[in-house]
Amino acid sequence: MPIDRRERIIENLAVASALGFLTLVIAALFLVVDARASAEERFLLSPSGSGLALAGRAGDPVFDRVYRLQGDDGLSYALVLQFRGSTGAAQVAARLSPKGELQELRLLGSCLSRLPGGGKPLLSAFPGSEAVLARAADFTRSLAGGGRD
Amino acid sequence: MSYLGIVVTSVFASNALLSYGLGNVPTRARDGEKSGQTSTALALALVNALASSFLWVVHSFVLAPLNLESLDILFFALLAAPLLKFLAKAGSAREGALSRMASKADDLVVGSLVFGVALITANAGFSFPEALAASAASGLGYWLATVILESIRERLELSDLPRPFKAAPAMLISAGLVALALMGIDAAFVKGMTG
Amino acid sequence: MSELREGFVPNPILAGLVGICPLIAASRTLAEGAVYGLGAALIALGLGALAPPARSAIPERLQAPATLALSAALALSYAFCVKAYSSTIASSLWLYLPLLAVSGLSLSTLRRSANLERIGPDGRSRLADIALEALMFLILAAVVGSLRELLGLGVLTLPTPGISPQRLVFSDFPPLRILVSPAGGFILLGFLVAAYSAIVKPGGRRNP
Repeated sequence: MPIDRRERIIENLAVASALGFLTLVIAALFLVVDARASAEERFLLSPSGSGLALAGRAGDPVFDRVYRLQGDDGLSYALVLQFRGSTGAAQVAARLSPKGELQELRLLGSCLSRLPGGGKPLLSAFPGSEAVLARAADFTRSLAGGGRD
Repeated sequence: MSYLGIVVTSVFASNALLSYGLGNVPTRARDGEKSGQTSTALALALVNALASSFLWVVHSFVLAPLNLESLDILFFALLAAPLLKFLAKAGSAREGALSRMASKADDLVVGSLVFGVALITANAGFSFPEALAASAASGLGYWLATVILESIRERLELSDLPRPFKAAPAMLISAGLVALALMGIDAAFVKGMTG
Repeated sequence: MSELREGFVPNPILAGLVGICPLIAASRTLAEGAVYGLGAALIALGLGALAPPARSAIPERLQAPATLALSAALALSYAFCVKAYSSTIASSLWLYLPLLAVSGLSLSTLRRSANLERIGPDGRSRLADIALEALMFLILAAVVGSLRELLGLGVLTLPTPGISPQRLVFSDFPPLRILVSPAGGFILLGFLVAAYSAIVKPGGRRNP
């Protein structure tokens, strides 16, 4: 193999290794932040019930981690919904029954939006929120195994 | 939403330039280049479609199973951008319309428009064909917005504006007014029209 | 007035409109504008410091993807820091924090870093130029965000840590709600640039 070509390959491998190392550093940083976010979610969802345990990860654009918890009325599922839209961003805690029925909706924090007043539903400021709740209900039912209590 | 609804939403309601602020408002005339050319529109649609499809595949099959969705921009910068640059340079070496399109694409690859559209479509929960349609339509929507703003700019150059408002300020205000018009086409309206 | 003319520092961002469109979309509130502007400033400074030594170590044919990856890594690191600081602000800036990797300010810093000389032709340090531009971008983003929120909604959201940023309420009803939309952002910025043009002559001197 000509020396020039060998040197080019070595240079390419060296730069690729450096970038790969950079990727690993960023991935490690992400895992630390993700663990912290999970701990924060558990803290924010704790008023909804006790015995919080991670039930599954949905990978949905609006919600990711779903937790199983023991509320006053038995087993239920809690999750944090991250709504983003032209009116701003809001984080909402939702609690669903194993059948996917919405039991509780609690505003955690918001940025920008003047949230709806005058008795309007909390999520009316975010178009598409009905579809999000439907997806959350479907995922909860799949975790509960077809809706058994 | 139907494919037509996705396309109409991506072009008008969720316009890349006027709704998301991706790309650049044309504030100055560019020598020898008109944004209304077909090659520009095709380059925008093709680059966005290629970039978004690449990121969708990486996002769905590599990052999502590992719960590393937040790292998509890093993988995009490491893999997609160099690949697209290489394809654009290879296309520029040819002749004719392909060369014009490829040289325009080469300028676009590293920019907020292509990166932004790829991130939006990868994180929107689309299927692959929907992501392809949305990203190509976003490119066309950007092209449409720049064509409208270029024609406004040409008229403003002939107008007797106060000195502080010449060039960029008038263009920004015009962009705002065009964006205001597009705000009337929201997702609910599109869904009602297209199903 | 003459002493003001000497000391007046023009805003290169308002003069050149570098990275202006994402700034308009991202800076809807004071909190978002300050966080976005700070991110752009820190990433530009990081690139200004790290890109020249990286370029001198990497072969020319690999410099473009390597520096772009460095920019993306810095943007992601900042995005993770913002998420740890305030998940709500990070959520509202979801698209624009990663896009700091290819913001106008980052790309112009990368282009400038192609010249490995530390001192520019005007005798000033290149890093000092980048730092000034970064600071002006931060100030502009915070000003745009606060004006849009104050005049648009009558509130100011402070960039405080935690899930619920603190809010100062000045008005019970939104005065000009359109300003928090992208359309309003473009229009407001157009007037800001016009005001800047009215005050500053080309060449950076203040108008008499």
